[in-house]
Amino acid sequence: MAQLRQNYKRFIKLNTEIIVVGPEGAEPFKEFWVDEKLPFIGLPDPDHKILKLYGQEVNLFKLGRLPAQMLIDKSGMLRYVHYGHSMTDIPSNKEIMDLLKQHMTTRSPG
Amino acid sequence: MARVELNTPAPEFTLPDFNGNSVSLSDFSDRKNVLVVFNRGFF
Repeated sequence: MAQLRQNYKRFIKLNTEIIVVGPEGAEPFKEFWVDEKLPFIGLPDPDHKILKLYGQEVNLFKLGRLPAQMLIDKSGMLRYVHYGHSMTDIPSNKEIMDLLKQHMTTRSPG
Repeated sequence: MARVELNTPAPEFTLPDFNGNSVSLSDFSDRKNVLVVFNRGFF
């Protein structure tokens, strides 16, 4: 999260909004956002609507959800899908930003 | 549990953010790329 916050402006420059979805309710979400001064959109999903729609997996042994990241382009297509295999299996921002730079930024002609 | 596939349309969703403002994936279509991060939980 801290890493995402640091790189937020660069994502914005790459015309990319960040939405963080989590299983907590609105109040704990808000407290966390205010405490950590997070700039991106926070979507509480206590009923697991999006989580189920996108198939985030729950690790039954560790009693937690596994992290996952999806990149969706302007036409609504999934261009990057990563399901973590462990709690710490999270791709670097650089990996995602490189992908954005290579394939998903619209450059003005000329 | 079903997983989403690369290079297929992302499932549309609408949920209120923690301030109660409605957020839909389609809000960004034709305007911005969206990075959706599924958090493992803060606590």
